[in-house]
Amino acid sequence: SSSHVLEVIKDFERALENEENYDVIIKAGEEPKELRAHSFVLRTRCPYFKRALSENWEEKDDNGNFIFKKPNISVEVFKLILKYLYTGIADLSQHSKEMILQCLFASDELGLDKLIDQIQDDL
Amino acid sequence: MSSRKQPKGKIRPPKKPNSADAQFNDNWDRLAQAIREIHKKNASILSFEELYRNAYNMVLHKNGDKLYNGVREVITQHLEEVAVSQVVPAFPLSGASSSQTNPNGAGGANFLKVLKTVWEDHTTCMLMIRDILMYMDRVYAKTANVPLVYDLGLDLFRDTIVRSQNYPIQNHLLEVLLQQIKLERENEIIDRTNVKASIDMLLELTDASTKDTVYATDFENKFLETSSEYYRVEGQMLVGEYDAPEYMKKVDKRLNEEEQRVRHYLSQTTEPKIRNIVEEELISKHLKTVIEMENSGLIPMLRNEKMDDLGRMYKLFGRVVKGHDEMKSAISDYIRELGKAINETVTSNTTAEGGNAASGDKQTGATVAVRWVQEVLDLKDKFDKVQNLALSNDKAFQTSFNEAFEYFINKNSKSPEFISLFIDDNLKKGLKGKTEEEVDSVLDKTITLFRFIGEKDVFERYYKQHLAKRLLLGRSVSDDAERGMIGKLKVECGYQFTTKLEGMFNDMRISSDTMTDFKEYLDKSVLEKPKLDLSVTVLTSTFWPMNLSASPRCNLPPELTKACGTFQNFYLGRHSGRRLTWQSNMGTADIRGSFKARKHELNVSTYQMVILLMFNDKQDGESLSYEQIKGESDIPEADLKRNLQSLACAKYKILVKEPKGKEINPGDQFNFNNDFTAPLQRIKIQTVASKVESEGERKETREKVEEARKHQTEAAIVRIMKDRKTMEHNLLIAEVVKQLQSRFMPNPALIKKRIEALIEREYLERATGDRRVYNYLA
Repeated sequence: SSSHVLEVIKDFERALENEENYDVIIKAGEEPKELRAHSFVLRTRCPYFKRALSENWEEKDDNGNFIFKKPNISVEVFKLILKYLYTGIADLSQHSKEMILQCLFASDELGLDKLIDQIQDDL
Repeated sequence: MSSRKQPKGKIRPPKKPNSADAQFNDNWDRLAQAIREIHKKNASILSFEELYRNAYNMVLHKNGDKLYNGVREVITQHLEEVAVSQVVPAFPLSGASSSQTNPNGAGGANFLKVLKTVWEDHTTCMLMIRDILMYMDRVYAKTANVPLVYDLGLDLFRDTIVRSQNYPIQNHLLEVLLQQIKLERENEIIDRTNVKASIDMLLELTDASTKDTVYATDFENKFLETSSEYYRVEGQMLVGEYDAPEYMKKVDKRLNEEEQRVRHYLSQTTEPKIRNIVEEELISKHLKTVIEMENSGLIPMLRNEKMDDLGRMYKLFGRVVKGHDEMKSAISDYIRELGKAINETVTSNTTAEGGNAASGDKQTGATVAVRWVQEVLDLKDKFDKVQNLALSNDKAFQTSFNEAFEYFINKNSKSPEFISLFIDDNLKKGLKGKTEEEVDSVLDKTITLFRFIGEKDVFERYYKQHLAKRLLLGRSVSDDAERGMIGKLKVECGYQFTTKLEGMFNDMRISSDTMTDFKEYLDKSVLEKPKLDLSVTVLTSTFWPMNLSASPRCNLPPELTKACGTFQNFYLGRHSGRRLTWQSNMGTADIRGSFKARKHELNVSTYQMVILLMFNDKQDGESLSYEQIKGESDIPEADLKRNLQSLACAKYKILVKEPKGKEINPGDQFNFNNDFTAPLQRIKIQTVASKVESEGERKETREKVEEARKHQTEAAIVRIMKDRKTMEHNLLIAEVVKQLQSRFMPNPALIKKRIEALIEREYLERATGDRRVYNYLA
């Protein structure tokens, strides 16, 4: 059954990469770059997004897509975070210390406790 | 999650050397402004990401406490404004109870409506504030050990609105809630949604010191107090105005209403408390009053068989501690009272009869007995029905009813005789056209009465007497019915009693065989045939209730004496060593009488036959005096009088008595009534049938019973001592009582006397050291 779990992970990773049926447009960094994602995954996986994408706070473009601006997190870091949210895996081995530190701050702000634990362990 | 090695607070931000304070002020201003916008319901212009980031930055830069306190201040300020601008203006007119200005509590209802809006707004805002301050909750509140921001909001609402120090909001709220409930109790329609909203609000707020809900600390006790008072007054009013069934319906309705109220808008924790109050004020306090209500209380309900009302009372009163006890004792007293009345009609009837007892209407005595049993059975039926239909067959009630029946049944010292007579009446041939099933069901019921009898040995004695008469006079309806009844008694009394009864049946069967053999014997014999048909029933003396050891005095006519002799020879020839004694007092005879008009066949008792045969030798018109008949026949006086009565004073007057009258007195003269006419050819002269005993007979029976008890007591003592060899006085008494109580309740003095008699006869001795201890002497 663990092979089935792996399959699910791959499917989610593919969905993130293909941007299939995306409904969230993330504008990351001070000079914003767009990333595309699925609100359902974000809300399910992260309490921060559960609130940010709730009816109370949502911001949408004309196409009905969520617009989420995050100027204080770079697009590289956000990509890593998204991959973690979709797959539960954050591979930091190839990244610089500065990058890893940025990831740590971002996961603290977004309340991703497990990711904080993992990064601290890696450090 | 607990695997984290460092608390989140330890994550440090990158150093941004300049303008930390300015950054803080800027962040806070934005947040405070945003919270105000939220309060104004303008959240749509705000950016979650920005506000969250502001709060995040403040906490990250160690300004969590400033943030937290700032938030507290902004919310408090807002709630103060709400109190002034919304809540206070909605206060109902002072003196909320003034029903003229405020007929349906509309002011109160409006106040609750405003509070509901205020509360809903507050909680909605707090949810949004909680969203943007999530980081503060997660990082600051935990380490600083302060309530999460949503809970802070609840506390602020509690202190600023619900328990405001500045405005009497709390008073108004409690008063309005209690008033709304009161209105609803008085059948006004109130808006439950508003009440429920306030109650839910109080349930969501927590009292800081008790950690209990504000509902429990502020509201519940007041609610219970006012309810107590309300139902105390209502209880007094209701018992004054309504009869018992109506009262109980009202109480039922109240209980139901309060339960519904709790379900709809109060806390479930209040349910048992308010239920107790209604039960206490409307049931416990008025138990006796309702039970004893004239014309409508428990007894009238029983009298009129109001099963629904009785059932309602049973269910309702079962809710409180003393309820069923009071009902039980009232019903028991009533049963005793009815039983007493039944007993009294019987005594008054028998005394009335006693006045003309000599008139000899033998049937009436038995009728009294039958009627007594029937009335007791009817009473039993009635209360069985009550038990079944209204009391859920409650065992405790059954026990108490049984005690009441037992009490009054044993108050009638004749009950053992009456019950036996009742059974006799049902087992006698040709009566009432009842089917076998009907008779069986009546007898089943009778057995239930039999169980209540304390002196079962007295019953047994009467039963044997009555059975003996049924068997000997051929009056039993059927062997099956008799055996069925014996089966029932066997279940109740055991085999000891029934072996003798079965012995009686055996004698009847063997006698019938013997008579067949006797006829054959006569046919083959060369002896002169008797001039009459003789039918003999041979009874084993130990099985039968009468004293069979001696022949009653009676001079039989020579033909009969001769026939008896023939039978005796035949019988003793077959069974050597047996002794036959002739019981002339129990026989019957068929004789032919020639009257002027026609001949009649007369079925009479042996004694009557003896009397009538005396007139054979007399000329027409020649009379015999009482003394002559007595002297010649040697029939015992009581029997003679009774039989003369049957012949001369009853329906068929075969003899004519001078002087006329219903009594037989010394000096009376008797003539054969040659002018006798009757439509039927065959006439049965009523012999003395089963009847209630006369006082003399009763005394005799009593003595026999006492005598039998002596023997049974001694037998029990010997049985016990033989087994135990040595025993202390009190223990022995207790054991004897235990063994005998199924038949009768022996009194200790009787047992003591029997012990002494046994010591005298050297079955027992007193122990040498201790005179309270007995030894068995083998």
